[in-house]
Amino acid sequence: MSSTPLLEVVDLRVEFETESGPVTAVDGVSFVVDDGSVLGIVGESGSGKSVTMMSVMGLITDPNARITGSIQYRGQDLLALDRDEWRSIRGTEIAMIFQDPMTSMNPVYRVGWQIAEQINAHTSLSRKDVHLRVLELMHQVGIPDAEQRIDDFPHQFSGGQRQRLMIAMALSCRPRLLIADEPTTALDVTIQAQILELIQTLTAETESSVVLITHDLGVVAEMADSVQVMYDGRIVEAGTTATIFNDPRHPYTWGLLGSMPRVDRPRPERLTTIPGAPPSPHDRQPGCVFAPRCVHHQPACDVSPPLTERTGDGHLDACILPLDERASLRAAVLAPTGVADER
Amino acid sequence: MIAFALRRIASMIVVLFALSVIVFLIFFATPGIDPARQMAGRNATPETLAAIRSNFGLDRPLPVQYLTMMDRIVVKRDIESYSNRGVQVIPQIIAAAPVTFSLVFGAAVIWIFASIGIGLLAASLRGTIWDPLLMGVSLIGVALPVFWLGEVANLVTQQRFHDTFLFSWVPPLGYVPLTEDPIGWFTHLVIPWLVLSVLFVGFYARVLRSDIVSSENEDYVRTARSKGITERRVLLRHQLRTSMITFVSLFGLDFAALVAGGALLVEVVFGLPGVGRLTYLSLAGLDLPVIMTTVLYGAFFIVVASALVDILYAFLDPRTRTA
Repeated sequence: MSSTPLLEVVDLRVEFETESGPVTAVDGVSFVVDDGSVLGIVGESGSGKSVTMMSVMGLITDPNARITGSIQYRGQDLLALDRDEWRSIRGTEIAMIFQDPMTSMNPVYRVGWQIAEQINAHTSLSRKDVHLRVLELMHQVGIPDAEQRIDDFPHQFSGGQRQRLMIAMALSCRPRLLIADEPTTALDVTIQAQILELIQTLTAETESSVVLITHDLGVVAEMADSVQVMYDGRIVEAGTTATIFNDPRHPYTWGLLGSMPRVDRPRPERLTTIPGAPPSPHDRQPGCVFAPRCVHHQPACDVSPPLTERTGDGHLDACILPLDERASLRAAVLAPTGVADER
Repeated sequence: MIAFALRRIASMIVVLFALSVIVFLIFFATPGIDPARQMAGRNATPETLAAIRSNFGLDRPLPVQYLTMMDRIVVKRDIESYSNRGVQVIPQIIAAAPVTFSLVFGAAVIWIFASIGIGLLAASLRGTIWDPLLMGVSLIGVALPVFWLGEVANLVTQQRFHDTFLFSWVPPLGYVPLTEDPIGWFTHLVIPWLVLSVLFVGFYARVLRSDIVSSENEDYVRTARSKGITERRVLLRHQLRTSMITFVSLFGLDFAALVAGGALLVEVVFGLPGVGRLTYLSLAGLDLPVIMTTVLYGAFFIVVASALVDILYAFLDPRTRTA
C-alpha cells in the first residue's frame, strides 16, 4: 500500500449559520479510505453522514456553510482548491450516486445525453466515441435494448433502472472513489440486492474505492471492509466490518445492532429500541453526544471522550466504559430476553 | 410528439366552436334584450331595425341565427357597423391587426430578453446586494400603471425634451407600416415597445429568478454539479432550462391576450390604430357588431396561442407528452 491514502479526512467540521445560531452538522470527523476498499458509514438520519461526503464532493453550496479541517485526496487538499480545480476532480476522480433515483436525473433531457454530458465535461472524445461509450455503460449496468433506450427520457424508466443509469453516469469517467449515498433506500427490496451487486462488481473491475452511506446494517455487513458509526455529527465507533459486528463496543452501536432482526441468532421476543430521540443539533451539550440517551450514562460522560483505539487492532470507539465490563452490558442489549449469544 | 400536437389542434378546434357559440348566445340570446336594437346603436330608425332583423335572420330559430352570424363574420365578411353607418367591420380589424401585432411582437422580444437577463443575473448574484436591488426595480416596473408611464414617456419625448439631441429622432405619435418605411416603423414603435414591456420584464424576471433559485434544491441540480460540469452550464443548461417551463406557459397566454386587444391602453396613449384602440372606440360608441367581432377575434388568438403554448410545453417538458 502506498504511503498516502486515497482519501484522508482530518478533523472535518461543517457548520451552518442559521437564524437561531450556528448548527454543527459534522463535528470533528476523521477517517481514511484506502485504495480499493469499501467503507461503510452508518448512522440515523441527521447524523451527518451525507453532509460529510457532500463536503468531500464540494457539493455544499449553501453560502451559510463553514467547512474547516482538511480533506486530502491523494495528498491534495481539496478544501484549498478553487472552483475549477475541484471541478476537474469531481465526476472524474470522485463520483457520487444519490438516494432517490426518481428525482436525481433532469426530467427534460434524454438519459443518453445526461450520461454523455459528464463524459464530455472531462474528455475530448468525438461524438461517435462518446455515443459508443454511453452504450457500453448502459450495457454494463444492465439496461436491456440500450440502443433503443438511449434516447428515452428518465420518466420512461423504472426506479431500479434509473439507479442503474445513475451508476452508469457516476462510473462513466472511471472514478477512483465512488460515493454512494443510500443508493438502495428508495428501491424495492428485490431491486436493492441487484443494485448493490452491480456496484460491487463494477467497482471491483475498475479497482475503485467505495464509500457507502447507509442506515441499513445488512447492506454494510454485505459490502463493506470497514465501518464507521456516526451519531450526531461524530464518529462513535470505527473498525473493520468483522470487529464491529462481532465485538461492537459503543452503546449506540449495540442499540443499532439490537434493533435489527437477525436470522443467525435466537430470536428475541422484542427487538431493542434506543430510548429517546436524536438530539437537535441546536442545543449541543458538552461531553459524549450519545450520553443523553445512553442507559450506561454516568457523570464522567459529560467530558467528551475521544475516539480511542483500545486494543491495537484499529478498532476505535468513543466510550469511557471499562473494556472488560462491556461484554456483559452488551449482552443485555443484544440478547434482551436472556437467550445466550453462543450455542 | 406529433401525435400530441395533432390531438391538441383537434381539441383547439372544438374549443373555438364552443367559444363562438357562447359569444353568439351572449349577444343574440340574452333574455329581455333585443339584439337588433342593441346592434343598431343610438337613435336607430324603425327601417334600420327591420333591416337588421332580416339581415341576421333574427325572426328565425337560434341555430339558423348562429349560422347566419358565422357566415357573415367568417365567410362573407360583410358585417357592418350601424352606429358608424355602413363601415365594414372585418376590413377595420384586418387593418388594425398588423399594428397591434407589431406593437406586441416588438415588446415581447424586449421582454423575453430583458427578463431572462435580469432573472439570471439576480439568481446568480444571490447573496449580494444586486439580487434584491434588481428584484426591487422589477417590482417597481410591475407596479407602474402603463397608461401613466406612457403619458410620461410622451411628455418627455414629445414635448419637454423633444428638441434635445436625446429625443429629436422621435417622430410624432402614430403608426407607419413596416412595408412602407421600416425605419419609420421602428422609430414610431420603439417608445411604445419599451413602455408596454416594462410591466412584463419586471414580472417575468421575478418569476424566473424565483424558479431558478428554488431549482437550487432539486436533486437533478445536485447531480449536475456532481458531474463536474461548469457552474455556468449547471445554471444555463439545467436550472434555466427547467425554469423556462413556467416562463413559456405564462408567455403564451400574456402574448395572446395582448394581441387580442390587451394592449388597449398603450395603443390609446400612443395613438396607434390597433385592435385595442378599435375595441376601445367601439365600446365608447356602443358599436355592437364591432365589439362582437373583436371579441371573437381576441378569443380566437387566445385559443390558438394556448394550443401553441401546450405544444411548445410538451417539447420543453417530455413528461407531459403522453398526457
